[in-house]
Amino acid sequence: MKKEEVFDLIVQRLMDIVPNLEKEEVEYDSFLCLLGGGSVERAELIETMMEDLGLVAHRFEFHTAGNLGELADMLLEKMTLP
Amino acid sequence: MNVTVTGLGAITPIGIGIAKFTEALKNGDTHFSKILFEKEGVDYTFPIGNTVGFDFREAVSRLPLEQEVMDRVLRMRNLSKSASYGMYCALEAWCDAQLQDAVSDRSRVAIVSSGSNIQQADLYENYEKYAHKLRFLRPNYALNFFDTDIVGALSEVLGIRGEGHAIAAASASGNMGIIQGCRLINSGEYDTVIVVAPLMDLSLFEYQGFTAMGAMAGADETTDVSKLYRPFDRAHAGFVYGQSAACLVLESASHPVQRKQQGYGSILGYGISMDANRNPNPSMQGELEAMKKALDHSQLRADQVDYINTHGTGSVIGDKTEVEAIIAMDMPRVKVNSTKSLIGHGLSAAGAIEAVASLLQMKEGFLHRSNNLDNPIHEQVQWLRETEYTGDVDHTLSNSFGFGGINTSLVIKKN
Repeated sequence: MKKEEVFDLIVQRLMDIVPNLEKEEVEYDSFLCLLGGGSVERAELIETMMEDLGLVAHRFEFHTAGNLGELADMLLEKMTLP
Repeated sequence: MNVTVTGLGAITPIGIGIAKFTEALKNGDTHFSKILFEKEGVDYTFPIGNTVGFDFREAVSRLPLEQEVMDRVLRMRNLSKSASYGMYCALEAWCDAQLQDAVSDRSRVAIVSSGSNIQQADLYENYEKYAHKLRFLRPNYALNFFDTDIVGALSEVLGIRGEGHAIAAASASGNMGIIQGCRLINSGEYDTVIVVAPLMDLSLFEYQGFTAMGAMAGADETTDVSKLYRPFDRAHAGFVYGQSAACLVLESASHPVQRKQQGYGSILGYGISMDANRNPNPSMQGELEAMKKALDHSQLRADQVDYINTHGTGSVIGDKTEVEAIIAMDMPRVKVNSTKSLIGHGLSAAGAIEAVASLLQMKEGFLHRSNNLDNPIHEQVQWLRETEYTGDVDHTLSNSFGFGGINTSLVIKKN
C-alpha cells in the first residue's frame, strides 16, 4: 500500500467521523483539531484505521503524530515492519 | 410547592410528538406487536408496544429551533437510540415552553435524566459486534455507555451550565426525576429544570430476564398481542414493554409569568415511601403511604382528587395491590385508567410519559379509555373502560412504583 492510499483512507474515515467535513479541506499537514475533531474523534480515527489496515499495535504509538500526514507515515511504517 | 410545567415532549408507540400523542390518547389508540430475537439457533419472541417511524434528524429538523442549536444537534454523532429519543423529547419540550429567548442565564437551568441502564440494546449490540475483535472497540463507547451521556449531549446542544445528573428508581424513575426537578426548583438554586426520560431500550437479556421472573407477559407465535396486555382485567398476565420517552420542562411559578406563559399545570406535591424490601413484590401499605404523603404535601383532601393515572402494569399482584391502596385512600369521585394499557410499560420512562399523559388529559378535558379492561378485578373503582370521559379534571394523582419497594406518587393540578 502506498502512502497516498493510506492518506486517502484517512480522509475517507474522517468524513464519517467529523460532521460536515469537506474532502478538499483535508491536506497532508492538516491538524485534526482545526478540522473540528477532538480527542474522541482522534482515538476513533486511529482505532478505525488500525482495524481497516489490520494492524496489531498499541494505539498510543500513533498519538504522537503531529498532523494527518504524519499519521499516514506512522501507519505505513507499522504496516511495512517485518 | 412552587413548580409549573411549561413544556412537554413525547415519543410513544401511538404518537411521536405531543400533538399526535394527544390525539392518540383521545382515540384510545394502541400499537402492540411482537419482537423476535435469534440467539445461538434459538428463537425468542416477546410482546412489545413498538414505536415506528421515528427518524431523529427528520423529527428534530421539524422543530422550531434556533439555527445555531439546530446545527449543534445535527452534528451530534454516536447518540444511542435511547439518547436520541430523549434528545428529541427534550428539544420538543424546550420549544414548547418557548424558552429559546427566555433564558439568558443558563447556569440557572438544570438537567435531570430519569433512569439507569437505559441503553442496554445499544451496549448488547456492541458486545456482539466486538466480541471477537475487542481491540478495535470504538473509543466513544467509554463516553456513550454512561446514563449521563444524554445529560452532557443536551447541555452542549442547549448551552446549559447549571447542574446535570441521572436519577434512578427502577420503574418509578420517571416520577423520581420529576420529584428531583421539583426539589431543585424549590431549593431556589434553579429557575428551570429539564426532566428528560430517555427510552429504556431493552436488549434480549432484559426481555428474557423480565419474562423469567414472570413480570413480563409471555407471547409465542399464536398469541394475539392486541388482546394480551390487560391491566386491572381479570385475565391480566404481566406487563408488555412499550417504547416511550418523555420530557417535562419545570419552572418556578414566577418564571413563566414573566413571558406570559401559563403552562400545562403545576406539580402540587409528591410522596415517596419504601417498603424495606429488595424484591419486586409490591406493598399496599407502601403505596398507600406514598399517595397519602403526596396529598399531605399538596395540602389537598382525598375527595378533591378527580383522577388517578395508575401505575397499572397488568401484573396480577401489582394490580391487586394498587386497587387495594386506592380503595383504602377513600376517594369517592376519583376516575381511574391505565395509560400503560395503550402504550405499554415504559419502565424507567413510565412515570414521565404518564405525567405527560395526565397533563395533556387535564388540559384537553378528557380521560382516555383503558384497553382490554373487560372484566375489572374490582367493581369498587370508577374505571374508564371502553369509552373515554369528557369533562374537567382539576387534580390528578399519578402513581409509579418500582422494584425494590420504591413507591412514588405525584399530585398534578391543572393551570
